Amino acid sequence: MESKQKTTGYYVTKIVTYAFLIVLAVIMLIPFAWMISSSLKLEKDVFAFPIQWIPTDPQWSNYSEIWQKVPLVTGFLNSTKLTIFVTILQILTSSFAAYAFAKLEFKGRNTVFMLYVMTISIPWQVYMVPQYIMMTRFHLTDSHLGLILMHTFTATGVFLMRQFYMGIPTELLEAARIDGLNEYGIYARIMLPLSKAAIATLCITSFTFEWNDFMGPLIYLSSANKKTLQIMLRMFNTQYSSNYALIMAAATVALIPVLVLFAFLQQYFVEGVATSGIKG
Amino acid sequence: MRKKILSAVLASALAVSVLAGCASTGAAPAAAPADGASTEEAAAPAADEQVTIRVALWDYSNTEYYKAMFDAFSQAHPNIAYEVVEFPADEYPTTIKTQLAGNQNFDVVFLKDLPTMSALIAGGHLMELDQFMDGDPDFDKANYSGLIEQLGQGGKSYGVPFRKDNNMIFYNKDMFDAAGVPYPEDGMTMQDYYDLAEKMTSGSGNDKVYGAHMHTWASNVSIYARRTEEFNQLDTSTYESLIPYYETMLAMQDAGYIQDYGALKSGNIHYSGVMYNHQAAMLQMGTWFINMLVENADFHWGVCALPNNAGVGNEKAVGGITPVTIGAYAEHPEAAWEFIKYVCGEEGAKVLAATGILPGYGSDAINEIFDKIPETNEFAPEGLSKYINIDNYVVEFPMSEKAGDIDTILGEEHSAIMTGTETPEEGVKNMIDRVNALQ
Amino acid sequence: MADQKKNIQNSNKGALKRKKTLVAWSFILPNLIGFFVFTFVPIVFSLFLSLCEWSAGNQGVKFVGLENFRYMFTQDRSFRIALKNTLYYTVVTVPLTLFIALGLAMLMNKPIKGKTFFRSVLFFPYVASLVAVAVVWMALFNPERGPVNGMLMSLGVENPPRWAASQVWAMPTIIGLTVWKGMGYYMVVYLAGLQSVPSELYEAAEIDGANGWAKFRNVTWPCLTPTTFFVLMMLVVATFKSYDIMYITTQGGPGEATKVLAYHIFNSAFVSMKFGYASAVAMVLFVIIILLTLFQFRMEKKFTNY
Repeated sequence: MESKQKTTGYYVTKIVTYAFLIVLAVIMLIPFAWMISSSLKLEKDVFAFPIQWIPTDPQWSNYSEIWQKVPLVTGFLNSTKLTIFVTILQILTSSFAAYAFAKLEFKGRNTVFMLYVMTISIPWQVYMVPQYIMMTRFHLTDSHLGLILMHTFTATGVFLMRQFYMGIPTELLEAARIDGLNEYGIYARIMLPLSKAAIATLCITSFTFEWNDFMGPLIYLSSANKKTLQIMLRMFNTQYSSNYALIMAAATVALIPVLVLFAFLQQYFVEGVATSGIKG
Repeated sequence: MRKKILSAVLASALAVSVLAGCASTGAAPAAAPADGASTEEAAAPAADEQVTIRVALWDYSNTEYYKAMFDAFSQAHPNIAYEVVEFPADEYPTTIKTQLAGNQNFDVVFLKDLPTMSALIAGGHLMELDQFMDGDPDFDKANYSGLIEQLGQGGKSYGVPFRKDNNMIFYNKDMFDAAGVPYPEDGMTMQDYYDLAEKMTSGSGNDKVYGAHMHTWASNVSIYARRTEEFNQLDTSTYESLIPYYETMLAMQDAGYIQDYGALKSGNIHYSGVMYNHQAAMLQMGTWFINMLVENADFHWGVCALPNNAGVGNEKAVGGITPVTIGAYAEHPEAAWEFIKYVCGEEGAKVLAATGILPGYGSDAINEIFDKIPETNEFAPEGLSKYINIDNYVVEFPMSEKAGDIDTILGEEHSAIMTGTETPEEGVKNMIDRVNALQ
Repeated sequence: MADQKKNIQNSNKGALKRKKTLVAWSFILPNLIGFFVFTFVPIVFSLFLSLCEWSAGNQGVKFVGLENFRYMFTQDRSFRIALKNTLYYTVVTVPLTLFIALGLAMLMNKPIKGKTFFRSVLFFPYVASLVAVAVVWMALFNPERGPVNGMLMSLGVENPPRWAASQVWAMPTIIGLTVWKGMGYYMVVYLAGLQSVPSELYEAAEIDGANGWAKFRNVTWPCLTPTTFFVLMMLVVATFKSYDIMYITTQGGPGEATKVLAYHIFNSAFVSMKFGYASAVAMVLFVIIILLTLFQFRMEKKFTNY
């Protein structure tokens, strides 16, 4: 009797859970559905009320039109280049620095870390112009290198990695030190493998930020052949009208790389990855 | 260690501040190294020297006439090539302010609005143009309806109007004919406008047709009072003149003759779609809408002067200006001036007018182009030149260093009034108090 | 003799300590140098600007002492409103997002069929273009013709809220949008945090007869402390710096109902061209974040028991 009750309860929980998840998924997918359906409409129908979710006369030509109107391939390549460099460099330098902040004792540690964290609170608009003037003096405006240098060394990346490292038991490191590993060895052989989920998170954070970043490239890149995808999307917004159908078509295309990356990185969010190396 | 970090920080901060202070105009003597001056000396090329000017603007790649116009200029001036630097329209003011703060060497700078221009003049980022205007026999200020003077600040000129606009009531003639209601006319009162809107409102639900349409900008109310010069953004003693205009608009909104402000704003609804889809009979809008109607409308339309309570007919025009300026760090200001003279002169104006856009430059030839629109477009009205060939152009928002702040305040109070959060009296009182409190 | 021995020991200790410090700095420097030059220096300059008047013009910087702060606290009505709005926005958005994200992460960490799909879907609004997300949200909550109000009316609510077009409801509408857009990302951060909870601890708790809630309280929550601190800080900072959402949806209106500090900062900088004043307002954010960081350090010492 008891076991049967348990299974009934089990099924009820299951059904409620899945019902909840499906409702949630539908709510979360509304903007996506709107993006796609708008991307297939005529401009004048985009804001028609009530929302028509399935366009009666899908305008597939919107997609070929965005391809012809702006040099999307150039934008794609530029965005890809910037994003890959920033993401890789950020993961490397942040996780390196975060190890020292989380697990090494040294004078001035907290002060330096405070400096990092405090800067997160300053909105970019406040130091955007001084930074731009400085970059002009370095001759780093209108160059991808300038953007990469500005976006790689962020406080957020260091902060994120440090917080994950804080959660890894220090006993593990002590054991490794006794076994004769130096700090670089510990970082490479213990910390990195244990923080796959954290690195995947940073990768997503950094990739999404750089891929979607718009104001940075906008202010810094003026040559047409250096512009990124997000700037090109904005070119459909003109002074007196905005072509939302084309904007949404381009935005849908631009979304694909992020979703692919996210799906790919999911394998690192499997429970138990971190525990495999921990003894008792 | 900490001391070292601190001193390094201070040193770099000082370095940046000195850099920021560079190219100073007189006042700060120590912090003025050569950079700003040297670019100006590099100017003045020999007449036949080959130069490339850098032109900053928005909407270049999706506006066909720019390229045609610029190429025509290059053909007329074979020694001047041009390089376009384009930024998206929405962020153009922010971007151009930042770029010029970094002393970018743009020769020609198009500007979207006058508050941005005021700010750039105050920052010393634009070149004075009086030397060019006064010394050039080919250039006549009289062709710009007094707008050059309105683009000045402190008695100096900084820009030439590339485009100007008048604001009018656009109406759907087919709808008026079908309802048997006479067309709106020049010199209407606000009550006349209200009555027309009432007569033209019909239907309900998805078939509802509104008598008029009011877009969501603050200027969609203040423009009526601005045209009659009852209202001046820079003079708070004139603000109370807005109250009756707000009362009319709110009455129309409450009666359902115009769409609800909150619904328009939440729905991101663009005024053009409302007219294209025959959902409203009248619309107050700028002359750029001529171009949009010529390209999109499938109904006969007409225009008339804005209604008002001051008895003003069609003798005054009101609207914004798109100025073209020369950057303070331009390397080829003479060539830039030639460029401006061309695109803002008769040749450039003809190209603009041919697309239905009102150029800053006025002449009989331009009027004729507007009057000929009905020859190629069956829906456009006759005699459009009557509404553009007006001697008295009132600039929509006067030049002032505070213009940006005032604009923000008027916009915020506008949304409070239109959503019923504040009565017109309360809203206008807040406008007065807040603008007076600006430093 | 004894003294000498002690000295040698001390100098050995000193050398070891120096070496440790050097190693630590070698970890930090690659990031720190870039961070220092490209972010820290301009930030310090802009903090210095808070004591100055500067219009991004080439007249240079004029030192005005505490004038910007005097104006901010005594005369600037918009600052007070924006500060109040920011606190309201933060105090509601942060805990709401945090708990929803944590709940979703716990759920998504269970053996559920189609986990990858659901996770991606939840993450979706975070990566979708803000314009698209905002447009949809505002359409759903359209006061006249939106489906939300349609539903409320059919349920018998006679005067449903006018959402973004109402002084009272505008902020809750924006908060809803913020939570909806952001929760997927923080769910991912929590998911990553959950991966480092040793499963042995759960097993031990089960042996002790702990039920679900007790397991959460005694194992999951304590182990997630560093992650929670990160999420908390990032959320506070993000809500404090939030500006695009209001810019796209309400432009701070109706009136000043959704005008937040970051919006005020942007206006002060790029509309009023008062970069000194904008920096001064940013200093307020800065001080609040410093206090939170100090608080975090203290709590971290208390809770992190490794």
